[in-house]
Amino acid sequence: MSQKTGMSQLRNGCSAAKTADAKSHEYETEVIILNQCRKLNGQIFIQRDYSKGLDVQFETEYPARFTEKISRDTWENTIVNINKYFADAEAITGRSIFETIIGCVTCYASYLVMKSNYRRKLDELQQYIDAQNQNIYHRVGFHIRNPMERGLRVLEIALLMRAGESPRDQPEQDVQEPNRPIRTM
Amino acid sequence: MSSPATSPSTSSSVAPSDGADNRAQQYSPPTYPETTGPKRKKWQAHSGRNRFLCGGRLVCSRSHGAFVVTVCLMIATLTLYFVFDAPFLWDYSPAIPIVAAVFSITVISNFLATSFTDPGILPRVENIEIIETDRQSGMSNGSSDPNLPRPRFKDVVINGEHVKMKYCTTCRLYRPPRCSHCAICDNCVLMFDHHCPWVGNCIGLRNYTYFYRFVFCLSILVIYLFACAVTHMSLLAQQMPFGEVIRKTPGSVVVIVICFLTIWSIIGLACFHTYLLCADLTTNEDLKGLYRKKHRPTPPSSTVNNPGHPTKNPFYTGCFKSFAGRLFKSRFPSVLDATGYIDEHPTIEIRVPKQRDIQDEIPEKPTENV
Repeated sequence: MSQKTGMSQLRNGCSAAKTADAKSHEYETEVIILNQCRKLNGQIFIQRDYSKGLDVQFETEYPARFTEKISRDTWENTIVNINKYFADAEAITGRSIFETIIGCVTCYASYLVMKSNYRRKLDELQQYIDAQNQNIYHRVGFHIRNPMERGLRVLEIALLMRAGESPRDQPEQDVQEPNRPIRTM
Repeated sequence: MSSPATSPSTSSSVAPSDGADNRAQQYSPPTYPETTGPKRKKWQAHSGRNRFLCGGRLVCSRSHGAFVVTVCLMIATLTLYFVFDAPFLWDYSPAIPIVAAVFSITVISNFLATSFTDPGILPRVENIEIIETDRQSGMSNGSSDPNLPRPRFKDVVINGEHVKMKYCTTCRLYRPPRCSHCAICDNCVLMFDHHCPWVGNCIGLRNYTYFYRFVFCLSILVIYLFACAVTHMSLLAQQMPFGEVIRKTPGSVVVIVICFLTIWSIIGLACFHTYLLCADLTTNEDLKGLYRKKHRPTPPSSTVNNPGHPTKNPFYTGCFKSFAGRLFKSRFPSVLDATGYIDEHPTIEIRVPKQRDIQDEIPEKPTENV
C-alpha cells in the first residue's frame, strides 16, 4: 500500500515538475533564509536509529508536525529510501573491496582521484532529497536537509515560512537570542 | 546583491534569479550581523586541539613529540638498512632488498594515512540545535522548564543490549555508541579506539584500517630487517673475525639493536589489534572492560530504571564479518568536512506556484489512505 502511494506521489511530483517547465510563468523562485524559519518555526529532528548497530540509519517514526501536511505513507517512503542509500553505502560489496585493494596497492594515491562508493551514494542521496523536496515537501512548507550537515547524527527538516505567512504553532522565545551561553549540565 | 545572506545555497534545485533575491530582501531582512569579507572554511573555526595542513585536507593532533620520534626512528632504520645491508644482500638475491622496499613503502604510506586522516571527529553542535532538541524533549516529558538539567545518559537498545549514550558537555551532544571524547585532541571521535602519540593522531572510525595495516606491516618489516641484518653479519663473520665485521658494517649493528628493542611491543600490538578485530572491540572498550562481567563499572545513580549493563558486545556479529566490516567497507566520509565552507546563513530556493495557484495545489496531495 505504501509502495503504491509512494509511486503515485512520485508521479504526481514528476507531472507537476513538467507542467512547471511547460508554463513556467505560473511558478516563481523564492529564496528562503533558513535561519529565519528556524527562529520562528523551529525544526524537526529525526534521530539516528541505533537498534541494528552503528550503521547510519534514521528513525522512521512519523513526526507529529507533519500531521495533515504529509501523509504517513509518503513520509515512510522517503525515510525508508534515505535509509536504503546509507545501507547501500555501508555494505561490503565487490566494489568496496576493489576500492580498498586498489587503494592499498597504489599507496592511497587512488583515493585522491577515485570517488569512494560512499561518496557516490551520498551524491545520489543529495539528488534524491532535492527531488523529494522539490516535488513533495517544499509545496507544503518543509525542507529536508542533507544529514551530512549535522554530522550524520540527526536528519534535520526545516519548517519553511513563506512571504506573508504567520509563524507556525508555538513560536519559541528562547530562539530569539541564539548566542546566549548554553548551560551545560 | 552579493550579501552573504543570500549568496550561499544549500540546495541546488533551481538556479537563482535576481528577482527572487530582491523579493527575499524585501520581506525578511537578515537580523544577524552581516559578516563581510572572505568566507571561512570549517577547519578555521574548529575548536578542538588539532592541526590542519593543506587547507584542511590533512588533520592531525597538536601534540607531536612522539610523532617526530617515530618518523626519525623509521627513517634512520630504513636508511641504515639500505646503505649497509641492502647492497650486500643484493649480490645474493635482488629479491631480498626489493621485498624490503615494498614493505617499507607500504608501512610509510599507511603511517602517513593514519597520521593525517580525520579519525572521525564529530563537529560540535550549534546553539540552535540544542535549543530545539531541548524543546522537543521538554514537550515529550510534559515539562518545558529550560533550567532542568539535561540527563547525563540516554539509553539505546542495540541488538537487544542496553547501551548508554553519555552526554558530552564539551561537544554538547549525546555521544553515539562507541564514540568517545579524546582528552588530548578535545574532540569526540566516532568509534574511538585510542589516541596514539606515536602516530600523532587519534585512531577512530576513519583511520583504523590504515592503523591496523600499518601495525601489521610494520611488525613484518621489523622482523624482516632484523633477519636481514643478522644474516648479513653472520655471513661476514664466517670470513673474518667478529671485531672486523662490526667495523665494516656498523649500520647493521644499529639496525639489529633498534629492531630488537621495538620488535616485542610491535608484535604485541599487532596481535592485540588482530584479537580486537576478531572480537569486534575497540581498545577503549577493551581497556574499560565494558563487556567483561568482572570489572564492570558500578551503575550511575541517574539511571535507576535502566535494566542493566550490556553483558555481551552488542556489535559482535561474527569474527569474519567484523574483520571484513572494519577493513573492507567503503571509506566513511569525513563528517567534520574541514575543507567545506561555513554557511552561517543557509538559504534555499524553492519553486512555488504563484499565490493564486496555492489554493489549487494543496488538495492535490493524496490523502486517501492516511
